[in-house]
Amino acid sequence: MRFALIAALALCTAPAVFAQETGIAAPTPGIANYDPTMSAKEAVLANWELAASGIRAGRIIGSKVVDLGAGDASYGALLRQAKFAQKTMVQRYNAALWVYTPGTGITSPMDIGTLTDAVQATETPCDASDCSAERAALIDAFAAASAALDAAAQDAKAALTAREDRADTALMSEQLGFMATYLESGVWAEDLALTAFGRDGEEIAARIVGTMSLWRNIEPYVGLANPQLDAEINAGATQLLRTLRRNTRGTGPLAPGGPELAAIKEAATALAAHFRRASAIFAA
Amino acid sequence: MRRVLFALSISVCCGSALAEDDPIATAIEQCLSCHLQEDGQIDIVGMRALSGLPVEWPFLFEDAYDLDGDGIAGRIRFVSGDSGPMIAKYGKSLAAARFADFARIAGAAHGVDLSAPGVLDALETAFEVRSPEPHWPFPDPGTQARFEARGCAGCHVTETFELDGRTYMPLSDFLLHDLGQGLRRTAPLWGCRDCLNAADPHPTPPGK
Repeated sequence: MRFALIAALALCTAPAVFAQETGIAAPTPGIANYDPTMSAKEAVLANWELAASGIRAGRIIGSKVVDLGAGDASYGALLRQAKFAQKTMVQRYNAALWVYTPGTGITSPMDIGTLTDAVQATETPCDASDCSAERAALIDAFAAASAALDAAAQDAKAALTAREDRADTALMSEQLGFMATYLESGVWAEDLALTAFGRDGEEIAARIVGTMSLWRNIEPYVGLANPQLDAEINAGATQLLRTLRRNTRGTGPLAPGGPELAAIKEAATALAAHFRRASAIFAA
Repeated sequence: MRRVLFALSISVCCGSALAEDDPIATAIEQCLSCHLQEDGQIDIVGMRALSGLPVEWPFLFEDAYDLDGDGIAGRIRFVSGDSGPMIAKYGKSLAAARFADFARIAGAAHGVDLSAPGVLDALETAFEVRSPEPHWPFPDPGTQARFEARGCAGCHVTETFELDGRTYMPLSDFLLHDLGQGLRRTAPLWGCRDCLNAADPHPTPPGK
């Protein structure tokens, strides 16, 4: 009990407000005056920020296309920027799709058709002297996608804010639970926007890797609590990553129920089981 | 700002004896002693621009697991902040999100006392007013095309951002990459001229 009190007091004297949590042990600070190591609560909130800022980055890069289109940039220059932008928009939104897992408080994904339209608009070359129609279509598509991403980013930010006052143990358990639920549910293979472009594998990979990326921020706290489980999760993540690369790169449209999706599902479910066990560690 | 200039004028005109009585002037003098160059500017380019880098910048390029298969994996680093996690952009290993935090790390490493009230703000101002403005890195479109063709733009990205009516190209994705010597931030090249034409600064480490 005495040691617990000492540990609690030590945490209370840490410089950052969010370091004043007492539920989860933190890694040993490395730097005396300012310690960049996040508290457990910060690590979970960083994952929400990863989603919110990621989606917002998609909005920003999409808006840049709209702004460029309003200026005197050539259609070729506009198209080059749009092709870069749509890649980021697709990747960042899909990487954050775990935020729609039941229980997060966010219930309505954005109209993914707006992303399809933006991608479609970048597939329209124009060699004519007057590309005003293509230009207008490109600007309209990116304006709509940017607006949808903006709303989605605000939803994610609101979900983050709603969690700021909660205990770190509850947040950590919840986060790992969301990761497990998302991966085992298989929803990452549903409502794909880019199948017609042969890029559904890219969407699926972004969704799964976006969920796996959350692990990096919270790993130190699971590692302190259960090093064995930490190692098992890392092995499971490596296996899922290998499976993803093998089955989504250059494969074209993925057949529902096909061997590629089955292999991904198996590896994702295995990793989800580990995340579920980790979630239980922090459950009350 | 006025206090910084006052402190600096004391330091310059009256030597270090007076500065020792003022913890702010002392701290600034100690920090500048390692960074000040003969031309009166510090050796850190683009401090004002860096403070205005969009928060979302690294998200435009992040690919933590080399999802796109281009051989480059880069990850964002979050660090602790006063009111929640923040996205780091300062330091070779992305140790801090704010100048003040990075200064505290450097102060601890070099034994500089930065605990006096107001010293971090004064230090930031002192550094910003002496930090050279970045120049446009490419003398012509051909140089940029060669830079991109060599693959440099995979990390030293050629995207730009606007700040106070100026366009900046930091030539960094502000992500952590593993080049065989631990995770390192892509070095911004906005102070670089000759290095754009230099030999490959990233020789492949043995065994990689």
